Amino acid sequence: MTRFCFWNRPLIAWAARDLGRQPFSALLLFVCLALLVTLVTLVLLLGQSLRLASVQWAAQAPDLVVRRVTPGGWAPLPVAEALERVQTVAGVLRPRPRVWGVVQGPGGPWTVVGVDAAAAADWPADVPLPRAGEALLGTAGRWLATAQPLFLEGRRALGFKVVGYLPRSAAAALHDGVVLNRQDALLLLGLAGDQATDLALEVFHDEEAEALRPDLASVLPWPVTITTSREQLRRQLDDIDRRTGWLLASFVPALAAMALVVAALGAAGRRQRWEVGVLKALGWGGGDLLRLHLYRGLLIAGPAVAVGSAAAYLLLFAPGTTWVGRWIFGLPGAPLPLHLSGQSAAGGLLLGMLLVALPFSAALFWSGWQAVIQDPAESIAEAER
Amino acid sequence: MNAAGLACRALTFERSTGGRLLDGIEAAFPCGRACLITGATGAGKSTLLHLLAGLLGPTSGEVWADGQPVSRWSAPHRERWRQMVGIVFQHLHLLNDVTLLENVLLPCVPRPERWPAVLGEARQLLERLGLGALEEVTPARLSGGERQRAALARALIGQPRFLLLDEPSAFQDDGRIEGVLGLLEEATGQGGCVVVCSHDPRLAAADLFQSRYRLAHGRLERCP
Amino acid sequence: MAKTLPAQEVTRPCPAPAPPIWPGAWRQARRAVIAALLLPWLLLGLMGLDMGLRGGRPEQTAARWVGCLGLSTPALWPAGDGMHYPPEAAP
Repeated sequence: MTRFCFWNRPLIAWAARDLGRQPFSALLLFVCLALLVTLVTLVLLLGQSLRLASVQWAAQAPDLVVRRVTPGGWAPLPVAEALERVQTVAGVLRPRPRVWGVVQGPGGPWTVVGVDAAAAADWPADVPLPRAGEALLGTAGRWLATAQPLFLEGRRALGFKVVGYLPRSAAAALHDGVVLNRQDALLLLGLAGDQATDLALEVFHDEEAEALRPDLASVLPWPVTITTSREQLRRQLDDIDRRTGWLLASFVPALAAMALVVAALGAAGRRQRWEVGVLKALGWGGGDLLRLHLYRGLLIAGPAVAVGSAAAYLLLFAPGTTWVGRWIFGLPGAPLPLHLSGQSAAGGLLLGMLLVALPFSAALFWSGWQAVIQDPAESIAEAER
Repeated sequence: MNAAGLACRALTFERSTGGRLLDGIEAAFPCGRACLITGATGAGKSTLLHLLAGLLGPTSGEVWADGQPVSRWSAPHRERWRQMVGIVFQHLHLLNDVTLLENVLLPCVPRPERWPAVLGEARQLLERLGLGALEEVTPARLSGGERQRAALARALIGQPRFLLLDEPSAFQDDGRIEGVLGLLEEATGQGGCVVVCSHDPRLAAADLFQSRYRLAHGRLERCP
Repeated sequence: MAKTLPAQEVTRPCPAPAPPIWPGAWRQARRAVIAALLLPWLLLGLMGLDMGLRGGRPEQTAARWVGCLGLSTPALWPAGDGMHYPPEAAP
């Protein structure tokens, strides 16, 4: 008795030859599959890479941020008094005032961040620390020539000399940012010299941040909102999940349509039915026909899935495209130079492949099964009529 | 019932539209012999061949092959029976967009164990049937006779135990018929069971057929 | 004067080439099969290599800037939803 082996070389060669008999439908299926894999994987990879990046950024971000609020919105924080009071709370480390805000600039709103000499210690050597009248632009501002003065309008309208750009690799964190000298930022945002936008704090352990909230609120004489980095991270991850989830759900009709097309191409045609009948009459078994069907599907799906995954990878990471981030998350400016850890990327790629490959395989099996159960005499007689 | 070859026992077949096409046919087609079935057009010759090939199931009665009631077998088992059958259809049913050689090889594609040998065998068969130079040509570009010989080569590939041929000489000139008959004689010489349905008088006159039947009004009668 | 070839240089008839084991049209199909089998592994391998070589670096750079500027991912919170900088955040 002959041992059963799924891989049958002549049958595989015949499957490829068979695909060559209908090159346009094979090509169409290949393109549809590759496109679907690209879109699904793109969403998954971007979602995952942003999740991963958010976790990494959160580890660097302040553990707590205290912001003064009034019934009309937020209010400037008197630095000296705020610092003096929060330092009385046990467990608070490195309280520091931040100056930041959103102003109007060329092409739309820009996020202004004020830095002073205190930042110089950690400042990268290859990027100049902005002095008075100078500005450092995020990647979204790369189209502005350095010779051109930058006009920003907050509470006041001021012009700045562009002295450099933040590296492209920082774009994911501050793509539409403008780094100014602290005094310039205060002027632009309409804050007094002894005021700040908010107060950033650190704690010994992440878990303490939550516990310190009531203590901090009680020592400050103004109503404040206090946000922990965990809370912000959770908010951000939820947002990423919501957006990617909606997009993936929107692909369901496309996946269903693809499955229907595969099923229709495989089983419904009169020519296919006749051919299956002839092959059965020539001694082909149901198993042989099912294998032929699967080989044909695999010969298209294997390369299509790989090409689709590679396209998604290239679109996102190297070199990346502007529209991906804009389409999914509304991120303006240059492509996000995100990069994944191998494990995370492999997971995203695998999931993308599975999401498309599973309905495809189901449709393939269904149409193959139709061939298996088909009555050969009936389909031959149908062709003879 | 244990005789080698094909046998029909009370074989009856009714059309789905009604009407009995074959009515209680009793016949034996032993191995090592060639049998000829003649009959008018529409008498049911092709249906009988399809029943013998396991493509159709009888309304009642049975087909026996090598002592086994094959028509009673379930679908997967009937596939194994069909693997022992080489068939030439009246309408040939060649795949028109693949080459002659590929058409001939088709029955052997799912059986890789015999692959390289079968390719040589296919070329040899095409050569013997005068189609050697046409192996890379598609059937759509061939004459009726050439197409018919290609269908015969497809039926003969893999040396099937049962050879069922429906009008195998309809488009052949006298010179070619000799070659066809020679191949069928070889098949019977190797212990094959050859059943030919035809109303070609040239075949009726051939010495090859030891058994002759006439199919009329649903009954198969042995001719002297 | 005609030169006589040594015995070993006398041309001998070549043995007939072995017939190919695949029909003509199938040779191209087999090449397509090999390409279809190799392409996915090649692409996955290249992606894996790229991931191995470049994995994680840009995020670390961005994270360093987050720390350097005292940002709270990637918008400056508690205003905003992480992705957008709402106009009401302006002083």
